[in-house]
Amino acid sequence: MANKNRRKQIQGYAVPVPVVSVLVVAMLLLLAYVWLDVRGKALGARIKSLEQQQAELQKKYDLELLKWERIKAPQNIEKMLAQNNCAMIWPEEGNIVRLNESVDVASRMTDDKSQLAQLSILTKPLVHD
Amino acid sequence: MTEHKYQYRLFFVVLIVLGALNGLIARLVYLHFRFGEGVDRNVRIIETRRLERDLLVARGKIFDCRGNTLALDIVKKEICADPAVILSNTCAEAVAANIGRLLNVSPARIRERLNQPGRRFVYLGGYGRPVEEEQAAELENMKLPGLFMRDMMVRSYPRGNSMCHVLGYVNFDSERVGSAGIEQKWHKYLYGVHGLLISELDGRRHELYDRRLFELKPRTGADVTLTLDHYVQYVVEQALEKAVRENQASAAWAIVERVKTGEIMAMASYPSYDPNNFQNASPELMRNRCIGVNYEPGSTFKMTVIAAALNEKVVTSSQIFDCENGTWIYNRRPLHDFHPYGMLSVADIIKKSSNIGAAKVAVLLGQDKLYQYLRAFGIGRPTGIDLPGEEGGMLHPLPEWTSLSVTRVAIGHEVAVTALQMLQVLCTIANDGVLMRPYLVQQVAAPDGQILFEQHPKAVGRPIQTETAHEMKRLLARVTEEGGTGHRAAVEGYSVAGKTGTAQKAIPGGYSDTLNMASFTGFIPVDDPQLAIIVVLDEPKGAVHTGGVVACPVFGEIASQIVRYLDVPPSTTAVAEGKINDKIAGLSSPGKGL
Repeated sequence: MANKNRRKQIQGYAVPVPVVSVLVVAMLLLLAYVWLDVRGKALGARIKSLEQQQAELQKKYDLELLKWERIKAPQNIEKMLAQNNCAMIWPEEGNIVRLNESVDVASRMTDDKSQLAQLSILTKPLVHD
Repeated sequence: MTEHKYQYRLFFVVLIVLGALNGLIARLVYLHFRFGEGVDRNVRIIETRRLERDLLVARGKIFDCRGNTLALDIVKKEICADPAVILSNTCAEAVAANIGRLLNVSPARIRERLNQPGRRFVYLGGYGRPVEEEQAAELENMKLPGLFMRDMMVRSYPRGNSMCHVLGYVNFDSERVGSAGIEQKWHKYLYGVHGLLISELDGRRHELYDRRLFELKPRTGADVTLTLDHYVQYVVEQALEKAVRENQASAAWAIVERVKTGEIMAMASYPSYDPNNFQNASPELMRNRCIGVNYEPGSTFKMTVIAAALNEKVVTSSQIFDCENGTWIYNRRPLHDFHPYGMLSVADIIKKSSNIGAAKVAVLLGQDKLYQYLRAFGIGRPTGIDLPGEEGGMLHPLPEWTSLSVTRVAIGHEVAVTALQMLQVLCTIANDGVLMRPYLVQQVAAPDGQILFEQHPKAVGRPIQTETAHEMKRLLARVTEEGGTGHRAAVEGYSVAGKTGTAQKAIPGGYSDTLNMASFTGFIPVDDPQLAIIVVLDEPKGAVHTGGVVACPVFGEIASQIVRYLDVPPSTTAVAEGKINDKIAGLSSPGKGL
């Protein structure tokens, strides 16, 4: 009968490794759950605040759009012109120059004055009087 | 001994702590699983914490053809109150005084609304009556107990009265139904769908995002883009207002249409109303007269008869008719001309607007053919424009025509049209005989940009041949020359064609001697028609109130501005120089006549 090696014997109660492992995993899962929960709540709060922000911005945008449309309405422009003693008139027929053909101006813009003179002939302004 | 004593103490402390913990656990379980006190308590808790809210959604916007916003939804505040809280705080007097001053209503009325201790909610400003931003801010600063504000969507029309008859308005009810104009006809696209949020609240009445049970996102309505141009509309509205003022007319209306496509660029009626305050407008003001008023067109209708006769080759433009020096007895009933004429060519019948000449042409054409052509031009049925409330005019079925009808219809009596129908006849002539369907809506687009509906020019008929249309254009151009009834419609640099009309108004038992409808319908320029315009004045009261005197200047004023705004090239052809069709002017070959 072999003698017991007393020095190798573990002192006190040893928790089995699987139990410890399970506890550790459970602990980690709990921590992960808590972390996710906190994170989820934080994200939720952020989404809510962004939603409110978006709604507020949309309200402001619509109000500004309404004001802008009122400002640029022809009746308002005429009213403002009258208030400032300004008047807009249509140009006289003789003051209107019409180009009856499109001209590639860039390709013709050279330093050669004769060519510029030629350009003015090509554009041939139409006078309708 | 001592150790034992301490052991007992320790035991008791542990026991007490454990007992307390058990109590807490029991309470938690009780609260969590909602045991005890029956179902009512649980329901009450659930209801207290429950949040169920409609998510506001905007209707689609309405734009003009240049992208200007004509109608949009904005969020405003409406004032609400909890009478129970206000009365328990004995501050009803203060609330009534402040709200009364702010909303400019009697405090007694507010007090009356607040004096309902059993109620927890009342509107103080009235249902659907929002307050302005500044008023809302002032109210918030007052911090009155039991007073709170709720968001509400309000339809806003930045241009006020402008285009009111086309745009329509939206009702105050919860569904916010479009009740007139584009708002009504295109409601199914414009209407957004409200969202729904079901969630839970915390102790401070804030939503718990992680307890959100249901969320249906709101669906914004689609945007509608019209063919109207805000500036063209403005020009027309200004001209109509001026014309009504100067001629003391009871009303006036006008339409501008693109000849080749049928797009309506302006449709205005005066007097008008503000759709932002539609509840203060009378039904008469809300009527879109351009499509909702049938009237006897008078002489403008002659072009329909002459076009039909020319198309059937029953007459030629140079054919001479005896206009009987102003009075013609037909079937024992007299027919008069405004000015007496002797011999007139068909071209001059149009130019001088002779009733007798037009009636004789119609007799030659025959009532069967005349009726067929009128139907082909779309008289007697709605044009199908995308607006509600369009009248179809009035054209009696042929069996109901009397022996006189053919001569009366020829001069625009015994028949009724809307301004749009009359304009369609002219557009057909200007468009080489092709009748286009008039339309107002260019496209409908979802908020994500997806096109839900798009409208393109559509030909719906060809009542007359191209050659006839060309001939008619030349004849109608003479109306605006010197000596023609429509010379006041002339626009410098441009050739104009058209026809004047003055019709006595039908009253019970006959026609009024004093009340009439004056109109002018024309297109510009003649050589390449771009725009057709009709102007109608109801009951002008000047010394002379014919279409040529009161409606033509309005046409000229509108057309001269629009052609420049739209950059329509000026007329360069012989028509503009007054060298019109020598064949017509010469009247060299008299043909058969009555």
